[in-house]
Amino acid sequence: MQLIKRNIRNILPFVGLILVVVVLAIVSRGRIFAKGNLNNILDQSYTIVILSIGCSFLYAHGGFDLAVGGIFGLSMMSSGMLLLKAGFSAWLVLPLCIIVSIICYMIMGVVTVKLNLPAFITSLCMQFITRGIVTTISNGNISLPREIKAADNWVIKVIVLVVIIVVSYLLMSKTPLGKRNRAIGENAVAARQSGIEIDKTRLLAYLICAILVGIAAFFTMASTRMVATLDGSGYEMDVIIAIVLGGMSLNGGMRSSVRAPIIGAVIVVLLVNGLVIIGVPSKWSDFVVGIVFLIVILFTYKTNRKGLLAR
Amino acid sequence: MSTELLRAENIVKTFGPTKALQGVDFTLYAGEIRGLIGENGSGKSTLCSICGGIYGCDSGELYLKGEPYHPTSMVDAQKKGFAQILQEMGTISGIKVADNIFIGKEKLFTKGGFMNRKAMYKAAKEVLLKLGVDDIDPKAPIDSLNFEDRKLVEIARAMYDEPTILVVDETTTALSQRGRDIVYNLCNRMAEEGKGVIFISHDLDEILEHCTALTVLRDGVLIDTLEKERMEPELIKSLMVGRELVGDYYRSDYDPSYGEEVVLELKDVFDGRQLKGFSLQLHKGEILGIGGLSECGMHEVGRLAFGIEKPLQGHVKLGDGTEITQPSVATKHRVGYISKNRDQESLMITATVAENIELPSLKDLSKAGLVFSRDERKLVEEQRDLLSIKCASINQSVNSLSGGNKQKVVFGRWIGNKSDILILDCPTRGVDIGVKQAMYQLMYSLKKEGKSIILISEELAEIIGMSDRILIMKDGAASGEFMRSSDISEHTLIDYMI
Repeated sequence: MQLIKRNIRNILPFVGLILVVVVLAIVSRGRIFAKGNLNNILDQSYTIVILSIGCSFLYAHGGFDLAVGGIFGLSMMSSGMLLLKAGFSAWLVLPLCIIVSIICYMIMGVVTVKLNLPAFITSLCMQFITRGIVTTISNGNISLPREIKAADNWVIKVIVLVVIIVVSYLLMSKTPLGKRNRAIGENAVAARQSGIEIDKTRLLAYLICAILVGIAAFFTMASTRMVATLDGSGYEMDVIIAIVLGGMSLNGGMRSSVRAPIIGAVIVVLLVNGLVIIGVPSKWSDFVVGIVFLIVILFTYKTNRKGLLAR
Repeated sequence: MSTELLRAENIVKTFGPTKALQGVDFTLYAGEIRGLIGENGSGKSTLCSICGGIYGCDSGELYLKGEPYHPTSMVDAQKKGFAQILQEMGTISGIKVADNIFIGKEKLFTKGGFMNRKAMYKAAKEVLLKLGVDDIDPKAPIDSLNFEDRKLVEIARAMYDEPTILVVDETTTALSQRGRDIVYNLCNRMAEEGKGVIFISHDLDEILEHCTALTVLRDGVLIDTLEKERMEPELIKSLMVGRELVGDYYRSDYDPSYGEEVVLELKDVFDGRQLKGFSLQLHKGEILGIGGLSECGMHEVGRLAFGIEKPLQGHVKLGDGTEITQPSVATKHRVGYISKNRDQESLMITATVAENIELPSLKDLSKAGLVFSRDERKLVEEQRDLLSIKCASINQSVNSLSGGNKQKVVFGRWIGNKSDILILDCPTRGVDIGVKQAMYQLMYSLKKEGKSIILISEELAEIIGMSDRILIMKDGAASGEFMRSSDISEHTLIDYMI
């Protein structure tokens, strides 16, 4: 009992996940896990899980990322259009996505870190900028050549995901970089006075995030075989909610983990998808999602002594 | 015996599993300045907080002038004549001095919904003058005042209500001599007027000089109350720790010894504020004490030497010529720093003991890029045992440790990183005698190992007690330099400070 009490913050997200699965399965009479829909859920989770892991490195040091959806969308659109125009091998899209993402994140990172601006503001600006570029360069939605479907293979995707999770876990929890990154979120002044190079560490976190966003963009293109101008919009909010539902503080700090964004992302996707399946009218779905999140957050907030945003 | 002001009977208070007070009987008489002393966590502040209405007690009774007394909040206690001046900052920033003094009492100056600010400023001036402070403008924004003046404003606010009992809780540690004198005068005046003062301090000399009686607490139990005649330093120390303090308190030799080699040098440093062309050399195996008033620039010297701030002109260099531009450079070259604002600047307060100690040593700890728990534990447990840090587990958050143990964690961090140079800014502030002694002995053994230490402190006694060489600063420049000897006294040094 004592053990459960002490680890309540770690256990609660799991309980939440199981609860969501069970409730949705019962209310939808199993339809949510029908084959067609399950595929949907897996595809969506795949993207949101990788994006959330990436962003958790920024949140861990006290950063904020409102640009993830925009950068994700721009990576897909720009590399997709290049693929159509130049007609190179579909696998080249992967490095392209990553490069576009790294360029965006590095610009954002350098501006945030070197000019010492709030990440909330710079990432909001980056969201507008990337969205703006997407609408300017594209003439509406594009379809991708069939070859890219080769990457939409669950064996490959699972291997990639496992590698991402293991590497991210080690990076976040077991390397000097991850520990320093979290220490900055805990107390930046103390971190600096312990000899941590704040700017360098924060920029490396931006780099990790950028690579993961690029990878997510590639596999999303592979599975949908098309890119829409609005792809990725709103994902920044899904990521925020995923991190919070996973039991991590948005302020970051030492208790940041990779586990939180993973569990949280799955819960988010299940909830959003589930509400549609159980027949909540679409005009009401945002409203219901808002209320459900509020309830879950109030529930987790009480066990989170550091608070979600209060500082 | 004169009339009794406050009586606490059999007060019990627990915080979770911790027994803060275990049945304390305490009586304060009119005309007393009662010192309250004890190690960190002995229950001094808890006792005063219960009397001051900050929290209730589990059992026990309080009487104020013989009447049952149940304060429900700090404001309620103040109305009944029980005021407190606490250690931490208690002024509200963003508003003016007068607003701070009369906060919550604006009605006194309000007529028909409008405030008569002129009358308020005048009243504020009077309160300050009564304290003996004539250089604070009631119209000034509180943020333009330094820490000390803000503390005085806080005292003025407490005194406006003319309390019968005043608690001074470790206030003087952060004040200069002038501020201290104001507090002492206030205490004396209250005692003469037949009121009572409870004076909490870690500074034994201060208590011996100004208190009329002294109560010693240990582990939540009232050990003894000593009358003025029985107040002997040795007796008090042994009552506090519950055993004789064995061994030396400071170092016992009077031999100023250090190597020839200069390990750290500040040369003609201008920082644009306090320091105007300041130079300093630290030698191998030297303990260099820097003393002065709190605004003399000595804290800035520490910050510059560790690279937290950059000099506008001049340079900070290590013995091998490396220029220190950032704390990361200093750390890499085995320099450690303890800030005087320990909880804000040195510690990650909600992180664990282990996470705090290993922070600068992560690179040394990692193998193939990874930090293994086994190596982590080894480093941290070594420091825990070396410094006898009292914690249930190294994964306990430092938040739950006492002040002395928190400070040990910061020490452990730098010893764990094998620091050759330590810059200590008020390392024993708010730390009890037992831990202080341990730290002095630690500094001495580090010195003997050939490490160099800069000890910046507002406590002259520890500078005299520990340093090979003493530098006294005044207005951003060195005003006196003394080699270790048995005939340096605080009075000699004070002349160079003011």
